[in-house]
Amino acid sequence: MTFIHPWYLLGILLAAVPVLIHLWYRRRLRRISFSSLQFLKKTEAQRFGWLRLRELLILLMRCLLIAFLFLGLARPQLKSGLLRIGKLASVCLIVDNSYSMQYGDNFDNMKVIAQQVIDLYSPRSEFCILPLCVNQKEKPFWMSRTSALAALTKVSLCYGAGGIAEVLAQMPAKGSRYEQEYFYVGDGQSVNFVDFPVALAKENKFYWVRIPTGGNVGISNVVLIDPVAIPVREYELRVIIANHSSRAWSGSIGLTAGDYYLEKECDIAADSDQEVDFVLSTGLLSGRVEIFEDSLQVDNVYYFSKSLPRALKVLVVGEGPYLVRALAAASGSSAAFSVDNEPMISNVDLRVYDVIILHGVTTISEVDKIKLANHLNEPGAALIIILGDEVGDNLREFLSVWCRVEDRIFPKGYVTVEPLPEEQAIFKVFGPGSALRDVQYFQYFRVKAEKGILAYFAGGDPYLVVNDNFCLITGLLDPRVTNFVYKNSFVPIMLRILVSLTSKEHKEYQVGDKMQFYGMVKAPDGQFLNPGDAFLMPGFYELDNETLCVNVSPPEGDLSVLGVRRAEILNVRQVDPARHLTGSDLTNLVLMLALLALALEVGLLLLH
Amino acid sequence: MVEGFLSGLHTSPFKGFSQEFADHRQYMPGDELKSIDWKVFGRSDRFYIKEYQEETNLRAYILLDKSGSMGYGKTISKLEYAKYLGASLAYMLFKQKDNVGIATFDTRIREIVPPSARRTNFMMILKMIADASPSGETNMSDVFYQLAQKIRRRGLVIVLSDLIDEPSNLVKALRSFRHRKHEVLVFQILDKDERNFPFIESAIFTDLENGSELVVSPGLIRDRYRARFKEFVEYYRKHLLESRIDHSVLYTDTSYDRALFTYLQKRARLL
Repeated sequence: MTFIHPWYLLGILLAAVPVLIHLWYRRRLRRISFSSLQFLKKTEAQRFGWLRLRELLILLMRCLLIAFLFLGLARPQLKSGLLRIGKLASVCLIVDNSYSMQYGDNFDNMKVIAQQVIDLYSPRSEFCILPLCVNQKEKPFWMSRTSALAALTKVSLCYGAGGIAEVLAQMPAKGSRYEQEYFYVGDGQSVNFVDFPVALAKENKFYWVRIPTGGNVGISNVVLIDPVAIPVREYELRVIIANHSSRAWSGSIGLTAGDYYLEKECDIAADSDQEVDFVLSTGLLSGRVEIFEDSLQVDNVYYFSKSLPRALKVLVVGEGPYLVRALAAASGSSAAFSVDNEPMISNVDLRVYDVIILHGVTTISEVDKIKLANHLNEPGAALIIILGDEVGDNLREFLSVWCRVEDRIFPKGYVTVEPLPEEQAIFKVFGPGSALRDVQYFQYFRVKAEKGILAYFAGGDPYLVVNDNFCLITGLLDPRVTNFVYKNSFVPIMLRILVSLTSKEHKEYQVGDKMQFYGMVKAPDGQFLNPGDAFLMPGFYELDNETLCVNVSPPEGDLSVLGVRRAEILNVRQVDPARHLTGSDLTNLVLMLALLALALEVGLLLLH
Repeated sequence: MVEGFLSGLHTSPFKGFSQEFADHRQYMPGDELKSIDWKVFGRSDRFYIKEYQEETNLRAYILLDKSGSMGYGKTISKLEYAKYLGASLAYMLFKQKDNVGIATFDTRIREIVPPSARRTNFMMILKMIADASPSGETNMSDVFYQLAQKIRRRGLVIVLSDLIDEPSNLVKALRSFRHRKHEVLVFQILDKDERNFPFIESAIFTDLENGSELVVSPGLIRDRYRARFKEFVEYYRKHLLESRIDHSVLYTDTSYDRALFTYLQKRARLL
């Protein structure tokens, strides 16, 4: 057994005081010589033994009361198998204040446990409090136990997410005085352990005090069902609800947009997503979606603000007729493109176009090259697409400035405009029955596009690159060359690509994102944000006459935690609060015993 | 005190054959020659007859308990009271020309003076009474059995004691006097504090006989104590009465008249 404040043990000597008082009192008692104690003893016969016992018991209780009291003040600790009590160390305490900790009483529990962790160590230890979700600009630093406890009380819940690796990167540069130990107190979602510094944990100095959490249902996204279609009067909105729980969820979903409110019932199976569609008027582009009856409420509301697709102005340079016809509106549909065809770009004002397609252009004049380069450097430059079997050296040289070949990839399946993880092999753009469904792709290189160039080029395998996440094999749009690009497939693909890429009116952000535009933004709590400030809470933000939406991070709503196996791999040692923290502190037990001794003493005093 | 008390109660004792000289008178014809005091004749050439005080048949034994418990008393101790009373009785007996003896005892017989009506005997009795001091424990029943063996001629046995001993044994021992045809007069001398137990504060009570100690809260036990003490006194009253032993309870603040009157009543019955 160890003691956090061992000097209080000296107070146990005071337990002798009642004995001394008792002896002094006995000496002070008047002595009366009496003829015979015969009758007194007979009278006391029944009570004598009990009275004597009672007197001794009262004395004992008084001694125990004092002894237990000082023993309690000394904070006795049982030795834990995992943690050493009263150790002198530099303790880095990562406290999880991400929004998932709003589940139940988890945040308050976290603070209590974090305090217990601080109490584990010697009062002379130094501490560094690192909130997992950092809103404040203040840099963390090593501090005393008292300051650490004060700092802990100031940690508030954050609407954002956080990773342990990111937080540890903020560790004070100043060297610690003692051997460092790390504690993470939180629910331990898998997302928290992304890029976890395994080397740190290998020294067996990283402990995770797990705060148990439960299931959660949250709105992970609200998207336009067809981001390409140009709606006339109504558009469709899809709400994606994730059930991160082992139990099925049933509840209602309400959508509010202006004066419009619609509620729908929804049943979601365990550990799955559900999509609920709403039809809205084109006049109602922003609003909020809300689900009810869930424990973690932060992600139960999603604020949306959408921009509907519009007809794009396209300039086709080079071989135009076939492509112009391909991009022309099909009968019975609204025109997605307004296409102009020019032999060269020198005489054209490029600023009016959203997309510029160089079709079958192998060489580019110096004037056009300069003009194109200047245009690409302007804000809001058009998207450049180069289509063709081959390019000349001067065009290749020009493009190499804007593109670079990264690696060879082997896509199969469909094509999508949505960003997808690399390991996901199936791309999706069209629904079942779409024309490109069975397209076999060729091997090709992935090209990193920069500055909004959609480009190609390597050997004889032409392809189209859209930023980082999208690749489309294509060739010269000539039926004689290609056997799969034709109007029914190419146009929708192009449409989706272009609409997606040219949608400059992004209005939805996540908590933690930083403002990248100029102007003062008014937060939901009335505070004004400056450029570069991070959004701190979900809600509607006002920017001039526009409405921005900020939501919490969808992955943070996934309360699935780091598994035991994975924790072992990462060398993260789990600490059981009941066994290693609370269970090891005998203070409460000893103080309870002191109270019991007091109660017994009072009881004995009242008992004649 | 005793003189006043006796005044008018007794006639002068008659003179006759006795070992105790009383007076001289002129020789009268018919007087026995052996009664002539030849020493006086030698000094005065006249015949004088020596007269002796007649001895009565009453032989009184005063048994004085001087055990430790008798040392207790608020104003005067029980022993002092018993000593005054014993001395008074002895004086009265002496004045009445009765044979009076005394025995002091605690756990055993300490001193004994056989009954006699002589002045020297009386003076010895007074000295013994004066010297008596409380000490030791009590073992009255054994003492009384021994005394019953020693006192062969029947007489009046006057017991001055608090009788703090095992009552049943003590009563049996006192009966042994009765079996030997003695008249027994028991003065149970007590202190009112023993009866009332008026103490208030908790205190350490020390036994005067054996020195044992006991911490007592008087308020808690007073009623039960009184009841037990009353039982104790009642036991003697009842059982001694059954044995035709006179039992009189005297408290240290009781007037001696009562004790002396009790004695005289007893004596009157005896003569």
